[in-house]
Amino acid sequence: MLKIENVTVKYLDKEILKNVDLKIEKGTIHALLGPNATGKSTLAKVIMGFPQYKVTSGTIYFEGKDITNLPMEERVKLGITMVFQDPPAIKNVKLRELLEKISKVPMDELIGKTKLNNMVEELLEREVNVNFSGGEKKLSELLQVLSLKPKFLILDELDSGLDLVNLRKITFLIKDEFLNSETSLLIITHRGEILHFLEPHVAHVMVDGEIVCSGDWRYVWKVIATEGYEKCRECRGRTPLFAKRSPSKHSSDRKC
Amino acid sequence: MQRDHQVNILPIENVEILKITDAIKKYPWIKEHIPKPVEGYFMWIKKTIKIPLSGCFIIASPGTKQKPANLLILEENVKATLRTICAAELPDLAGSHTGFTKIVLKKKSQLNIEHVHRWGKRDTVITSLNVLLHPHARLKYDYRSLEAPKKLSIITKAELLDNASFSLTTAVDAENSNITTKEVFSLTGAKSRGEIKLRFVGRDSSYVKALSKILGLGNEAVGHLDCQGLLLSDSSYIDLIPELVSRNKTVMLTHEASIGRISEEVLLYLRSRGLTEEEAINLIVTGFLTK
Repeated sequence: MLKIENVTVKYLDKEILKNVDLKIEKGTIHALLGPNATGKSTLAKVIMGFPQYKVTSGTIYFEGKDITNLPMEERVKLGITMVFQDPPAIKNVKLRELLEKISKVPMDELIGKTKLNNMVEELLEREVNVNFSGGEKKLSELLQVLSLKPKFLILDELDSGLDLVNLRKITFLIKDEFLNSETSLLIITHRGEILHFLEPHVAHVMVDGEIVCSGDWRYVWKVIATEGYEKCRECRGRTPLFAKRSPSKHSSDRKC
Repeated sequence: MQRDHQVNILPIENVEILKITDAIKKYPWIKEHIPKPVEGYFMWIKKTIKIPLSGCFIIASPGTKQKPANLLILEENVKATLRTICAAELPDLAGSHTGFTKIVLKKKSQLNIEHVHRWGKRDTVITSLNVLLHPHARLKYDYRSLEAPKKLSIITKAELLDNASFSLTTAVDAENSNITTKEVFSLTGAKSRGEIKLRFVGRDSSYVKALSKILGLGNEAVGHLDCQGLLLSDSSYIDLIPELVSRNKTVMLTHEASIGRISEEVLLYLRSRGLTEEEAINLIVTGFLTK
């Protein structure tokens, strides 16, 4: 479904992603792990098509089509979308008005999907992300992406600003909607809980703008949890330390 | 309804509606409010009307020059809603609409007005509104110019007597337009309350200038000015000039004013939801002008 081939990206003349390769098949869940400021969210925005990030080499394919230079709204039409880590406040625009503009799903059906009707009804009448709590922001993001019926969904730090209870609720919604569907997910995180809730097929580790390892998420997470990302830095360019277990059948090109 | 200079009036129970030229013959005292009217309407609302009243001024022929002068009176304790549209049927008729309206709300009456302008790109529009609110009268006036003409000038003057209240909202979406507004509220009466809310969007090649003044005179009068501009183009200007004048130590006058732009972050966010840049701007502008 999504294939990133040897992509290098610059932002303000600084190289921030280097020779990234990633292949995500239809209906699979991938996780992208890595320390802060290592390029994970940048990769999400490059896939989305944010214009400030310049792809200086390499190609991004979606369903076989080269989308490297496709405008963002065209990529959304193809089915690519994302949940933002910290979405901006939009004064004077109610969430309901935004959803009415973008949604491919009738509003009642959309609200029903969340099983949080009262909370959603109240949220719909508020200005988008203005004075929203962390949980409300995530719910708003989720409503928006559900309304777009995505084929490929990026969850950028879905777990930031959420306690475990709310993270569980939100991930249940995602599972309900997307597990066993044809939608592919890319989970970007540096925490472990969301991996336990969504159980990705493959986990990738990004360090300093490079994907240095890919493999079974349990194994990858175990090493990170016990030895930290420093171990991943050591692995870069060598046979990865945690390359013991077989990756799932949906793994990316690079295997641990 | 007035189309070019042709007037059609539908009778409504408990409301006397006449051409202003006929009304001045029947009620000579109208001259105190409007000395020499050429065209326009006289509306005298004598009892509460539950359904909204409608008014409409249309320019339909090239070069039409309308000069309506209107007088609207609400009797004591009466409540009503008025919806008015002033528009050009086509975008390039190059007409002019120079209007004057006087509104008199008697004691404890209440009026809501929703007034929409939708003019052609070559029209010239000058409107003056003069308001007198007797004790405990309440006026809520929402004016929106959704398609601004080449030149638009709006002057609003209001006098508020004891416990009267006037809330004025003016929202203008300007493109290739020269917009001037002037609002002067005199809070003459004790505990009178005046609020002026202005929203201007400056798209390409527009100049917007708003001079707003609240004069606090009566004991414990309260006034508030809220002026905001959204500048979308380097070829446009917005000047907001709020003025608060107090002549009584018990008066409370406040204002907030800002001119901003749409942030790139917000535009990109909306584009990531599938909207084009133009659709994203229009969504934000619509919200800005209608909230």
